[in-house]
Amino acid sequence: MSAVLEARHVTKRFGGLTAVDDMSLAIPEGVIYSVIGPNGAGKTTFFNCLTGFYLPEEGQIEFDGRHRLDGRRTDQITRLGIARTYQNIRLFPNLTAIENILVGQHSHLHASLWGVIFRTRAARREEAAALDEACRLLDFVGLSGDGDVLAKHLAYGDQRRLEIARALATKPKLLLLDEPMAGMNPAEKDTMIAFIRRLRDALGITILLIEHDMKVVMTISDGISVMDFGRKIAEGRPAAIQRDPLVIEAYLGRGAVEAVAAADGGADGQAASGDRPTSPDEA
Amino acid sequence: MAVLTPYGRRGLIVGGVIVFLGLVGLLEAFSTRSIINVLRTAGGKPVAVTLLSLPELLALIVAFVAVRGLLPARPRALDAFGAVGCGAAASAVTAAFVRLGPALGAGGDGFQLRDVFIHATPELFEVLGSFAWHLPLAALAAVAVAFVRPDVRRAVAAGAVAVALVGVLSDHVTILLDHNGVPRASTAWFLRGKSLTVAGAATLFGGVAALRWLGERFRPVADRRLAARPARDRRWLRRGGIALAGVALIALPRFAGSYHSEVLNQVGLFVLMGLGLNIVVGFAGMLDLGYVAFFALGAYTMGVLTSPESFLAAATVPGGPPVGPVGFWLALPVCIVVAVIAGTLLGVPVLSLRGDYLAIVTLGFGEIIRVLALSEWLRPFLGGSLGLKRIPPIKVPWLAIGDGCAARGIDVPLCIYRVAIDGPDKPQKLFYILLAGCVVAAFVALRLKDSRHGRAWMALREDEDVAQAMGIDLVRTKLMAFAIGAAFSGLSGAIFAPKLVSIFPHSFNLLISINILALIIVGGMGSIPGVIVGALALVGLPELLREFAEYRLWAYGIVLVVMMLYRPEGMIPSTATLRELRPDDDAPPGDVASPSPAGPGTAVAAAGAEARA
Repeated sequence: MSAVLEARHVTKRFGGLTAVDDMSLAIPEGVIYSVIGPNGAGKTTFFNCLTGFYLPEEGQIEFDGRHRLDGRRTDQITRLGIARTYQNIRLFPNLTAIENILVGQHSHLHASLWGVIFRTRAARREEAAALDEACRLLDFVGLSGDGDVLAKHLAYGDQRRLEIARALATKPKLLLLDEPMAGMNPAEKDTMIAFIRRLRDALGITILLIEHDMKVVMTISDGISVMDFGRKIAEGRPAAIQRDPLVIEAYLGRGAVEAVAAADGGADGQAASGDRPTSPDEA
Repeated sequence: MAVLTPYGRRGLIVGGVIVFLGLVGLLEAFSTRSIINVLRTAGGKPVAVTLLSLPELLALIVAFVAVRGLLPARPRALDAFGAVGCGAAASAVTAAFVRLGPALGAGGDGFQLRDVFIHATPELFEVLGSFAWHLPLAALAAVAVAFVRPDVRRAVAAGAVAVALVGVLSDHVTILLDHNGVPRASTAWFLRGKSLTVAGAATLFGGVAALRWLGERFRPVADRRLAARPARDRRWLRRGGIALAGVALIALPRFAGSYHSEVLNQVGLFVLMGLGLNIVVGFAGMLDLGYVAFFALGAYTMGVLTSPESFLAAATVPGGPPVGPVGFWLALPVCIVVAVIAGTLLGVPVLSLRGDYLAIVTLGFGEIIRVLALSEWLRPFLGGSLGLKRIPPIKVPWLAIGDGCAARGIDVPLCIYRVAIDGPDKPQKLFYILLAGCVVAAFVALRLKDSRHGRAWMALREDEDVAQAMGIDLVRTKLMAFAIGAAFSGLSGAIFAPKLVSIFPHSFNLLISINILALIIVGGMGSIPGVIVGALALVGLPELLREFAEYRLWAYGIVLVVMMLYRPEGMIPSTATLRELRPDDDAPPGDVASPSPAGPGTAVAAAGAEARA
């Protein structure tokens, strides 16, 4: 298993604030990998560095063992095979569902200006194929029949899945999901977990996930990195992370470490309840 | 009783507004137009007396809108009472002004109303007095409308708009009828003098309202029938429709005559520019306020290349009568290329700018071009404030053939050629050039809209960052929008120059940019038919109502405010539908468009079921 994405010593500063501090990460191909951490830990900033939205001051990011990502533009990185979704859904609100997906296919379409104006055979064939592909993706995320609905008129959960479909349309090798389960109830989260697994198993896409719900993270992840104040404080398999004193401290504060150690083995429940205490979906 | 207070207050405001419209001179200026008149016998002779004048219509509309805004969806008896009271209050204010106004200006050395409001003339009081007590009628109509079914309401509205439009433009209708040899006697029942007769107004109202109602009633049936036909039949039907529209457009200048063809040409120039700006603003969402720059560049390039007075002409022709360096058809592609290059060059520095900042920079660019044309520095080339003169008219080979045939007494059957007989530089001929330009531009815009390029523009408009994250190259996409938009504008300018013969820097002021932007907003952002309707409404209509040119910008402001409040999506909003994307799909569009009845939870469950499969 070679690393599909390898970040080395990535650092991003905003003025005096170091949002991402010496972050290193290697994600093997074909896994579901999670990045967790308290609010403001720098997870989304790290995502933005990976996708070229921010230029990190230090460090290198390597994709697929061949391509350096730092310094490339966002669209170039997307064309290499990295797609993402956003924490607060960012669809094209006034385009229909199917158009959103078609936009995602942009870099795989090649019709020139002239081909489009004179509707050449090649351009027509490409457009028809793109539309078929878009319909197939809509089916895949369970939105068949909603193709003509403006994205802003879709229900919240449907918007989340349309955003994933749009990301899939770029034909990524690596999919970055920024809190895909925010605002979902437990039943919806379960189906989302199954859906993300299917993305990996059926489509062979490596998945990098930011998620707050510990139960979800522990169920789904093959590997986890924990961030706090921009730094990686722990890394490993879910079971090891659950017991890591640094992680527990980051989420619950210093006093909690002793309490957890005393309880022994109760870390699971503790860590989960430490997840975003302000979140409305916490029971 | 408290329910009635807002009605009373609104009534006082309406009365105030109407008095204000009178004091700024609007009502008096509009009083030259009447909408409907009746015959009355005065001193044994029949005289046409105005039944409904334009100022009265305006006042009634103001009252109607004001009352409609207050009425609940289902008015009760008290509301109806209040509405009539509102109208009565407005009437009372107006009537009080009519009664007291003349006294305020009645002689003596004291206060003279006319010292402050020069439009407070006896004529104004006469105009206001003629309808001061009619305002409760508008309130009654507003109440009645609330009880009418929506489809009937829309039909009535269409009929009313038709009557108002034809009534206001009745002198143009008369000119058109005369031009086409329709004897006045045969239309006397419909039009009398400069307005509609009661019978004419009733017929027009009934006809348009019925058509609107029937259209709305049977449209879904027709659509379903059409959808049931095989794709091949539908394609032929569409081609037939296009051919029919083509024939109508080709025949149009023959029936429009010289003056109205000229108006159509003016509209055509703005349609061309509107289609271009629509790509930049409507599709790609980049607010460009200096769009007139490309229009100017197209016009000046054409002038420099074709005028015998241009600095290039002097160099190419040593003796004899000076002729332009090249003809229109050779210069045309150059104009477009110059505009495209300028569009790209402007695009480069503003690539990273968004929204307001982009608008300010492009605004500056538009002014720079105008100032350059005006400058002393470029005076030897562009003529400074004197402009470029003697730009030769456009010569069209096949129209010349028509002229030649006519000179030899050969009757050419097509009406195009008949038009060509009228002389070398008639607006009717120019219409065909502009028509061709508009058709090409609309075709290109339509094709681009549903392509990867058009979608990239729209993605850019919706969310630039995400668009880039979808693999869209922002630089290329933005520059392409600027370049294509500039091309259409350059084409428009290239036709504008020979149309006017002389061009001056002041023809290319900021107002043109704003005009184009306004017509896109009124027509509907991103909508191609919207551009045409917007140009007809904001360029064609003011051209027909030239006598009120003083109030043109005033009307623009009102129209824009009203549109933004009540119909921000424009007159013909652009709709993104699968049907547009997939015209040959055999599935009835209704089925595809129906939203899924499942809520978010069940839909996720469906995805989950799929995931487990």
